[in-house]
Amino acid sequence: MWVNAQGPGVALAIAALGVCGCSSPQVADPDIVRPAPGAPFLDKLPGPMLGPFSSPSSALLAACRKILTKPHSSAGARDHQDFDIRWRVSSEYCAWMYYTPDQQYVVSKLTDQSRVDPLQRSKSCLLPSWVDDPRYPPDAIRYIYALHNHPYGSSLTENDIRFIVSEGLAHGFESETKDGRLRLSVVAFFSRNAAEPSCDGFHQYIPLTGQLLKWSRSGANWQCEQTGSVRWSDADTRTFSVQKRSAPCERSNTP
Amino acid sequence: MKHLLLPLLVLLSSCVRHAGARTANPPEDPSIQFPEALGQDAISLGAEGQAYVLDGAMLGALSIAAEDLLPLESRGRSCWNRQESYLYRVLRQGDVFFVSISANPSACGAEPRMLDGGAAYAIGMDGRILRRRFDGAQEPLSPDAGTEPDSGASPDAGIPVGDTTWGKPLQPVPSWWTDGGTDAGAAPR
Repeated sequence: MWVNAQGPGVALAIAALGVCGCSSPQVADPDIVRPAPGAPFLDKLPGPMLGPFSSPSSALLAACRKILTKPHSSAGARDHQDFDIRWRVSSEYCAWMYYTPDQQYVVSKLTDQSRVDPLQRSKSCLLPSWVDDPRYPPDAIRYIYALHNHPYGSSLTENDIRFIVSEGLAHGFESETKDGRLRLSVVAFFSRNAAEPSCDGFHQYIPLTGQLLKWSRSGANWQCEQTGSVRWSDADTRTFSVQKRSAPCERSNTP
Repeated sequence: MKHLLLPLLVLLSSCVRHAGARTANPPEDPSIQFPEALGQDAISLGAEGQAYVLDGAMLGALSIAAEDLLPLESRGRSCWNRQESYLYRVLRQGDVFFVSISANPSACGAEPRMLDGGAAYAIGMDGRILRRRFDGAQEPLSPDAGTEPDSGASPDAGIPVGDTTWGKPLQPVPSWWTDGGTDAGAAPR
């Protein structure tokens, strides 16, 4: 019996077989670092990958474009016929954007190290707390954005929110820069098009303001929407709740 | 780890065997919606010297969810493949238990912390998983993540993309944010 095996679905199915344990030769990407097979997770990320940049926005957008060009960084829309396969083969990449002693913004290399999941159902990225940029002492680096992608463009998760607060406890929740005091935040990029990914927007959480934001690109224009706010308990339980609200981003309209 | 939600109970429940838990998955019910209350303020169990009561059905639901996210064959490969490295929330509504699982960022010491990787489950009283939702696969917060921006977003009034300086700071910040936390320890050499 002959089966008509053509098209992107077949290509994705073959890719799915690859990530499910069959041999799949990987071409080394100089932008991506991973632990050796059987080795512990990386506990620091080398830098730089991109930069230097003179503004945090330019570094952020360059990182967005870079991450979303990496293989399977976007799964596309759920109503696409291949979504389930696209989801299983999709990958999250993560990195830091940091500020250097010479007043520049730099993006570290990427990693896609994640929790082992033989079924490839859940997606995660294990982002080391530290960047190793040999040009600077470790303690001279200021951490600005924790970067990753969401293959389906979904909002930030509880893990994302807990993650960045823990990093704030380690590195501080804001850093003095030439552009003022920049607050630590976590960002999740997304693309609307899995076939030809582009930087179409990102979700952002800023612990020091509690803001949950969504930035969307339409052509050359960017729009910002406040989608909610996070309220942490003051108790040792370290629990939080999210109040969803939709409001424009205005300097006078903060949580 | 007194701030962990139910970890000990889940560990204990790992020994509980549930008929059907590892058999072929029946179809899920996409009409089931996860209640917002699952992510809101919760009572934290684990206070020292305090006894708690948990009925078997709830224990079973927690166990099934924990086993589904981290089945036996995937455990032990790293700290993040251990059930005790997670926080567990459970909410009962009618005949359905809703369980969410998220990484405990302080559970794995110097290992890198996890972005995404959690899950939520709806589990029936008979122990059947009615719906599962992995981090990142949930519906976008607003319906326009897969489309062009709608009119709900307004021009950004000149705020640079991604700028973090314009919002009003929390007043006060949680006290444990300013207690000199050292969650990441010293930079690895």
